[in-house]
Amino acid sequence: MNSRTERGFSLVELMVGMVLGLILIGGAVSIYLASKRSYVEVEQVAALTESARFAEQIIGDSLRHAGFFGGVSVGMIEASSSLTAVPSAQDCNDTGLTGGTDLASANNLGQFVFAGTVDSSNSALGCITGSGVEGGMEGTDVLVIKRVLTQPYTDGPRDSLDPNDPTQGDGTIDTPDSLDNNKTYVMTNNVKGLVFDGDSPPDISLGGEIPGGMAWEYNYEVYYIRDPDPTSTDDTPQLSRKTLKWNGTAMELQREDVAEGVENLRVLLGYSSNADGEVDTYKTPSQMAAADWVKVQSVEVFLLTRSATRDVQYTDVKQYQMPGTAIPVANDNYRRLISHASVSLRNLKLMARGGV
Amino acid sequence: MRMRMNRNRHQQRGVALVVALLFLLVVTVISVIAAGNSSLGLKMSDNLADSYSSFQSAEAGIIATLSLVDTANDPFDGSDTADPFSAFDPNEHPLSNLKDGAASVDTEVILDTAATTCPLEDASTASSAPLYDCEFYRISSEHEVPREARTQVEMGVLKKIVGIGAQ
Repeated sequence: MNSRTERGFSLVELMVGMVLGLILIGGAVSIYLASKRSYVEVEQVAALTESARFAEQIIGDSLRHAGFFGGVSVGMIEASSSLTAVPSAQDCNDTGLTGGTDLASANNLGQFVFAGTVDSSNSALGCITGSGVEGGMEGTDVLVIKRVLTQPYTDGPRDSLDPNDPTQGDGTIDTPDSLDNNKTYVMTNNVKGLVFDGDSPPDISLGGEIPGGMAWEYNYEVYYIRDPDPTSTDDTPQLSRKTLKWNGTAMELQREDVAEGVENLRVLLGYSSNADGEVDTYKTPSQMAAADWVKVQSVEVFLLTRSATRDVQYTDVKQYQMPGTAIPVANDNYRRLISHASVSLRNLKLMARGGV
Repeated sequence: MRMRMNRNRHQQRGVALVVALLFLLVVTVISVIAAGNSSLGLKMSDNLADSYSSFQSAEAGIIATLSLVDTANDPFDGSDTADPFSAFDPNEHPLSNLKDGAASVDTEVILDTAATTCPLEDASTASSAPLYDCEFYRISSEHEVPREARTQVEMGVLKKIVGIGAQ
C-alpha cells in the first residue's frame, strides 16, 4: 500500500499534466503580452492627447485675450516717445503683404492677430529666421497674438466707484507690485492708452499724460513649430513661441518651448465678408489681403501632434487633412493625432453689429 | 491505512483548490490592470469634457446677464449687483437648464467707473461736445463644481447714458 501511494506520476499523467500546464501558461503569457502592448499604446495615446490638449489650451487662451488692452479702445493707444524699439532685424513684419503696414510688429498694437507661413528657407514674417534650431518647419503657420495680461497694476487702493479717479492713489505704480524695468507695459485709463517701458512710466496724476491710469503687462506671442535638431530625423518637433524679453541692452524676441511633439500648426482666419457680423469666410494666412486682417473675428487652429517615441509594432499609414493641404502619408512608427479648435475673438477691432 | 489514504485524498483536493485560486489571482490582476489602462483614457476625456462644459457654463452666465439689459431687472443701474438673477423664481432662472444647475454659476456685476467721458474709437473721432457719458461695468461669472472644474470669466461692459455734459 505504502509503495503504491508514493509511486509518483505515470508517463500518461505527466504528459496530460504538462499539456494542460502549457496551455494555461501559454494563455497567461499571451494575455500578458497583449496587455503590455495595450499599455504602451494607451500610454502613448494619453501623452499625445495631453500634449495636443495643452497646446490647444495655451493658444486658445491667448487668442481669447487677443486685443485686450485694459479696457481701452485699441485705436486710442499710442506708443510712448521713450519706448525702446524692437530692432527691426528681430521684430516680426508683414513683408510681402501688399498694402500692409507693420501689422505683425511687436509695438504696433493695432492689429492684434496676425499669421504667416514658414517658407522653404525656414523663415516667416522676418522674426522666425535662420537655419537650424532657430528656424521654423517649412509649410507650418506662424501665429502672432498681442494682448495684455489680465492683472492690472495701480498706484494704491482704489475706490471701486471710480478706479480711474486720478486723485486716488499716490501716483506711483506699486500695487500689487512695482513695475519691472525690463518689461513693456500699457498704461490705460478709460479714454486712452500708452505703451511704455517699465523704467519710464508716464505721469498718472491729474493733468498728466494718462490721468488715473492703470498699468498692464504687455504680452507679445509668436507661436510657431520648430525642429530642435534639423540634422536628426529622430527628434521631436516642438510648438514654440517667441516673446519680448530684455537681453541687457534691448528688447528682443526670445524663444520658449510650449509643447512637445506638435508637428504642424495651421490656422484659418474667419471674418464676415458682407459686414453683417456673421463669419462666412475662412482664409489661410497666404490668402488674406491686407484689408482683411482688421475684420478677423474668429481663428481656427489645427494641430498635428505625434508621439515622442516610436512604436515598432505600429505604422502610420493615414493621410491627415490640414487647411490648404494634405499631409503626405508618413509611413513611420509614430502615432499621430490631429486636433482642432475654433476660437471666436472677444475683442474685435471692427464691430459689425446693429441695434444695441 | 484507510485513514491515511483519506487524508492523502484530502491533501490533493486542497492543492487543486490552491492552484485554481492562484490562477484566478493571476487572471484578476491582469484584468484589473487592463481595466485601469482603459479607464485612464476615460478619466482624461471626462476631465476634458468637464472643463469644456465648465467654460461654456461660465460664458452662459455672462450672456444671461447681458440679456437683462433694458428689462425690469437691469443690473447695469449705476451700482454693483451681487446677484443679477436674485429676482427670478428658481424655475424661471435663465440658467436653470445648465447641466449643473443655476446654483453652480456665480455671476456678479461690478461698476468699475461711474459716469464719465466716453472712450473714443480713435483720435480722429474726437468731438468737443460729447452727447453721452459712459459707465464702465465688469461682469464676472464663475462656474464651479467642487473636485471637477472651475472657470472664471470676466467681460467689460460699456453703457452709454445721456451725458451730464450734454444737458
